[in-house]
Amino acid sequence: MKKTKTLLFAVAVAFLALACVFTVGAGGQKDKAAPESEAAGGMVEGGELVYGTWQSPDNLDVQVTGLQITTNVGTQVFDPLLRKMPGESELKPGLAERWEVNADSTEFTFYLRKDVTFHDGTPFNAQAVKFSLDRLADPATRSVAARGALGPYKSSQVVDDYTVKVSFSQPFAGFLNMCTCVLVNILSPTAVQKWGDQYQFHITGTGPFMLKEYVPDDHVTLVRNPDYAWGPDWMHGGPAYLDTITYKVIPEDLTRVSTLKTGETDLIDNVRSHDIAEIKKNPNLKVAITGVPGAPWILLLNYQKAPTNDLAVRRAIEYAIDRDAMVNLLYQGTNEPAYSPLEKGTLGYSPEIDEIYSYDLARAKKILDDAGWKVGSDGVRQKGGQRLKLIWVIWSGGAMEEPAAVVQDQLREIGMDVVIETYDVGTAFGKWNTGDLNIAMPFYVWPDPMFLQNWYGSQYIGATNWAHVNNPELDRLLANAEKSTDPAVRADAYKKVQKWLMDNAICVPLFGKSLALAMEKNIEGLSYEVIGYPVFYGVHYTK
Amino acid sequence: MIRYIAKRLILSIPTLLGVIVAAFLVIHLVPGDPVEVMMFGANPTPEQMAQLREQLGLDRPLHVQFVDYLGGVVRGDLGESIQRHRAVALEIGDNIGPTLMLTLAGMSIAIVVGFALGLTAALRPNSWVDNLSMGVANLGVAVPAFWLGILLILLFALTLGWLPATGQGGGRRLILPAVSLGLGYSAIIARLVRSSLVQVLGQEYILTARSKGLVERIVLFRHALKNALIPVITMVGLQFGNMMASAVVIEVLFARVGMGRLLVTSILQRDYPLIQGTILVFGIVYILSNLIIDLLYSVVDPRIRYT
Repeated sequence: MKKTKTLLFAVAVAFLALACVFTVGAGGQKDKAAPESEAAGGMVEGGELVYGTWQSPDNLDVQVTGLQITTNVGTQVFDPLLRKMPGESELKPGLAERWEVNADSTEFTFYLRKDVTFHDGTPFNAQAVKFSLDRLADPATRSVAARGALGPYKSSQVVDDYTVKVSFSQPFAGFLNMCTCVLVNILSPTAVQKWGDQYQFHITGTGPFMLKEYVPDDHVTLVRNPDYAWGPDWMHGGPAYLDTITYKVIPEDLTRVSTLKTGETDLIDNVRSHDIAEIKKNPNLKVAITGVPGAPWILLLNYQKAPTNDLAVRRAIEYAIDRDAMVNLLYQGTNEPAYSPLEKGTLGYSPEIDEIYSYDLARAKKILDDAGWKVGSDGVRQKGGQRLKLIWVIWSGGAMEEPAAVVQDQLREIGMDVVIETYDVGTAFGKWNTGDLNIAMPFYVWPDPMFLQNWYGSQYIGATNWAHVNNPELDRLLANAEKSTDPAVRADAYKKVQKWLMDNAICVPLFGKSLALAMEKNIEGLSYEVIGYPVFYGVHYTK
Repeated sequence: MIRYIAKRLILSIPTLLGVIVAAFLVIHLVPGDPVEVMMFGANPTPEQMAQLREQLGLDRPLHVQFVDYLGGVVRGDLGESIQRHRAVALEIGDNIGPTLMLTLAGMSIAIVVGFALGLTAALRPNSWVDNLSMGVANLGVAVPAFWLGILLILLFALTLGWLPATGQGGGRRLILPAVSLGLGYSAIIARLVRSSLVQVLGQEYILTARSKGLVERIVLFRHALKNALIPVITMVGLQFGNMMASAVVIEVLFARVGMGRLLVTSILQRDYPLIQGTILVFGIVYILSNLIIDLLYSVVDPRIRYT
């Protein structure tokens, strides 16, 4: 009896101690701001949207980083110079009402809106555009991905208060398309000067939402810009509907999905295909999937390193991969098989390119047989004492392991020994850049086909030319493609580039990218900007 | 005592130096560098990459970079994060608090549950209570914290809806992460408390205490438990650092900010100054927790005196 009492005493003391620990800092579940008023058609104005995102911003300054989450936040806080509906080629006015381009695509003149102000009250004008572009190009900004949007930028010239001329040192026809995304980021000069190196905590644009708070690795809170009156003319005009958007960083997939189900979040991103079916069964939730321009997930075959320096080997790979089987196995309902270097919805994409290769195992084997690659005793082909062994470098956490395993299995069918080497991102990039491998597997999100220059131009070997292709004919085709801003001329030029790439089997497109969001069923009005980032300007709850 | 502490702190300097050298070498010797990660998506020319390397000082010989970094550390300057454009000390300052809170809460759970199970088992050795307690403890050692966390989210957040699945700070948001972190360690403590206590309870002075007619509570807590504590304190001290390291997965799973997540992201982004700073702080925590444990010995066992 005594013993039992002692024990109870010990346990009681222990739990008291625990209780003390847990009263440190009071927390509670999210107190959602109730929507303010109800308008016609069951639409509710106001309210808070809590967005659970997989990625944590490394920096909230859109000009500094290229991270998806920062561009996503930037899409709500900033307005682009020009606008474009996803998948369409026609350019529409944004912050610029009109624009002109000189004959060789090196000078772009923008005539700006006169009724726009930044969130801090600074007037939007030609000076602000010049300041923004100069800052993006300035090495001191240490801009990484966003700087790519400015290409061979030379300078900007203020013609008058609302006219600005942007000059490039080489033809840069893709610039107009780049102006449709917020990477060409027009920010308040006053805010940058005021906050200095703290600017990322005070990003200031002209968009429908304003930054209220950024707590690194935890959350970003945006509030409605009440003065917003310059939204795209195909949308509702006036300020946004939602009061606030809170981006909450939730890196783990399972946790993110759980928070959507418990109501801790209202919308989540990066939803994996195996979760989609489950979410679709939930009567309170829905899924939105959208395609993204740029390059699909694609294999880049090293043009210089054996055995992929052999055209026969590269062509055999093109025929040996069964994309339908792969997509059915891994990405049912989210991603589609891809057959072109450019993704659908990107200028220059052509169904004709899709037709160049199709799955044909017998043909793949015949190509290798004809080229002298004979099957050895271990099932792997050999030629002149060399085994048909391919090194494929991927990084962990990059969603590459599963498709790599499928391709590895499929290529074994034709006697190829694919060795998958997994590293961290930095190490993998190092190997991609030095070319110490046969296969790299990138994808790319970009509103314009101009990135093909960087992927396949010989001057980019050691940087982004991961196929390590150096061919004068290809270089000539690429240079031709940036000379005219006429979409039809450019589309045709980039079609020729793609045809060359496929004929020479430099790349093996695998499957398209997609952006999968899951959200509460009563969220309506979601649209997307040109590279697939969600636009919350028109989003509202319904009754 | 103060002299002893000072001596220990001075002796820890070579250890920290070792930590700095090891961290520096490991991150610089693997292929790839921050510029490659930063420039992904930027379509850089090789010249632009070289320019950024020069700007960040990464083109200098390794020993020059090291001496420069070490000089900074001595002056108390941990450098600036390459990606975040913020002082490393600031980043650590923002993240150390939440991790310490999580670790302390996890440790409290480990100690409370560990002692409860260990005591229960030790008081009735080889009975069914003992077997059950130790069975639970063995299970606790075997279950990874990450998996336990997932189960707890599924049960308490999704099915029952009692607790949030994520969150910063203390209160209700701390419960699931702390339990996931602490339960495994409680099993280790339980086993140690049991074996240590069973051994002490068999000593003759316990028999003497009982024969003097002391109440069992005093025999147990003043005479037995105190003497059984030394190995347990050693274990708790050693586990504190480990637990802080385990916080890495717990912070990711429960979307909490903290040192663990900072370390993971800094490694993925090859943010050299941030990796080095974070590892240095982990090293300091290990050294300090060992020192505190050594000092606690003298509190528990009067025979141990530090001069």
